[in-house]
Amino acid sequence: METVEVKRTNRALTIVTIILSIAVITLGILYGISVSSNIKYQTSLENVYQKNFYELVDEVNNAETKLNKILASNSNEYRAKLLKEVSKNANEAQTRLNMLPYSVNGLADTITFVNKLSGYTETLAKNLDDGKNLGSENIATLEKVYNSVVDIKKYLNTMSKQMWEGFSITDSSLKMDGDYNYLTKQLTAMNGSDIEYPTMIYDGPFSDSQINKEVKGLNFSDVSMEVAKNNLGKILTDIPVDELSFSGESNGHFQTYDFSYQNADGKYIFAQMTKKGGKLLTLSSPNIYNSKKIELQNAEKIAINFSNKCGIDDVVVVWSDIIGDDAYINLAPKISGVIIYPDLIKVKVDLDKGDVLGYEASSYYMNHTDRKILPARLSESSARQMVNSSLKVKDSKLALIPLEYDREVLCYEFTCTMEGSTYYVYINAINGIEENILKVVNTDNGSLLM
Amino acid sequence: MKSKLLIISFLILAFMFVSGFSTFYMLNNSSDVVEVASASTNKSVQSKLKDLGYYTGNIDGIYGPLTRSAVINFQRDYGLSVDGIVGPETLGALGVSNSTSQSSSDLYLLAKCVYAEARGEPYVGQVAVAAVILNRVESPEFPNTISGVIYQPWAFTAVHDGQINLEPNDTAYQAAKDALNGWDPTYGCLYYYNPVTATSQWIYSRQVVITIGKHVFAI
Repeated sequence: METVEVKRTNRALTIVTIILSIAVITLGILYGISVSSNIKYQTSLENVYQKNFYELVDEVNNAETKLNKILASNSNEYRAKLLKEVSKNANEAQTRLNMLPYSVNGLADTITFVNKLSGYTETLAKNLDDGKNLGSENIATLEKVYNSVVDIKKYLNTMSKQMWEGFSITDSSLKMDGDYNYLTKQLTAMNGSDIEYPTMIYDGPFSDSQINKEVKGLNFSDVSMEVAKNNLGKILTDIPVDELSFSGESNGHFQTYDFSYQNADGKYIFAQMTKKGGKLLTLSSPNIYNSKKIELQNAEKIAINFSNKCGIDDVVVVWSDIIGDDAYINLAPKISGVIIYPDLIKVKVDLDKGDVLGYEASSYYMNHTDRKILPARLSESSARQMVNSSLKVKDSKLALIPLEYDREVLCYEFTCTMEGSTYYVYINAINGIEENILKVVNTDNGSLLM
Repeated sequence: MKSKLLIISFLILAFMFVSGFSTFYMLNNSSDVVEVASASTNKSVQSKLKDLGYYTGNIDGIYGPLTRSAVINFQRDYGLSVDGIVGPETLGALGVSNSTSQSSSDLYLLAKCVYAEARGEPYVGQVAVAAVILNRVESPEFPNTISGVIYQPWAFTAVHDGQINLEPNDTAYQAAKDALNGWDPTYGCLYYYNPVTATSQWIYSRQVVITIGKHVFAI
């Protein structure tokens, strides 16, 4: 009886051993397959990184040569051509650099320098095209810029050599060294510690004047939180003031008191009141109704009323569209027949109850001042001559439009059509220059101006 | 005794197979993305099908069995390949434009990133996340396109771990639209972090502008 038992146990053990061996072998094979496919993925990823790296090196090398030629050239036309190319090289270099897996912000100085280089050279080229000279200051800056680019190039060449010796971008991006990964540590020599980046003074893309814009429309003294809350209560008349809860302050471009409100139906409102003057700056609220009962025209009236309640009068609807269950309405002041586009106010109205779900007046308070608008020098009919003759003009009005870098110009706005598409053409009312064209692009998310 | 051992070994084997296969499957399929039309595209499709008399349900943007059978009937009648999938061909036949323009794909990407990064946050917190992405596009310190900013390596956790491939909900879309329309509750912030989970010391050196929900927004 006992021997039978032992035999049985032995047989069972053998079976278990066989089954376990099969399991181990199978797992081994599966593991092998997954490791080999992992290696494949890693290699293709590494190849993409390396391609970007070498393209970065190319762009920097090209920018360096061209900057050198600019300093050697004596022709404004040739300099403008080269400056445009350097701008493109810098922009491409920025794109390549940002595709490398360094830790975010680890290379902020370098990226900023490269982006500014692109904006600076573009602006200089534009100045040359307009018949201006570079001037000795810009030449001096370009010399410093050139030296920095040479330093970056030297650094990248050292890194290239490391890559030939098997440095893996992927591996080094996965190893952490403090806050930053190992790749970032490798690249930080470029980031302002070994290379000095010169200041570029210009009025163009990424310039400091664009980043540190001043708020023009809030020449009021500071109010207390209670005053701001009361002001908000006067605007949101259907909500008792006591139910608005103060949720903190924000200290960005605008300084605000922030309030929120929530009710049992899931309605949620977040509103920001400026410390200066206690004006409503932003209101945000999601649409919880998901149905449409109100016509767009009524929504436009609601938007204008709301803006009046916020203390901004004399506004007209300049654009409106229904997207989903909301009406998006843009308002702008109309002063002595001229629409003031820089002072745009954006309002979102829900089409079920007619509630204002969104209000955004930061452009208004950023730009609004008492402007002295010079009268148009060109008549409407002579400005109309400047519009491409293939376009059919439907409507025209005078408007002050914002151009890049804080310029504002008085224009005739011509609403035109061509082959079923709508265009807005802006002709300068002083000198007849075609300043801008906007095209209405219909998408499944409403129409857009592009 | 024997049967007990057999059962145990079979269980071990089964467990190993299952775990082995699932690891293998995970390693090989983690990047699979199921292509789903956006809710707004589905809504347009439903309303077209309703106009044509194929669809009787609500215009809710949900691709359910009713929508599917309507699509199949439409495809059969219009001589398209009958698969119930609303592809470019079917969209074309319905006269619905899919998200083809540059701006629409920007909106979709933005909504995806908002949903992945901040779906548990209050609405304004979601607008704020979208606004930070747009502020980065404008900033010289970051890439100059929406896709460049979103897919910048290591920039967003939810992009890095693949949550970006989740389908955004309507709230995320609304928030993304509001941000594209110029709403910026952070007034120019370039960073946000959750103080509970943030691991980087560096992030605390930034000037805090506003706290919304669980996120601190900073310049």
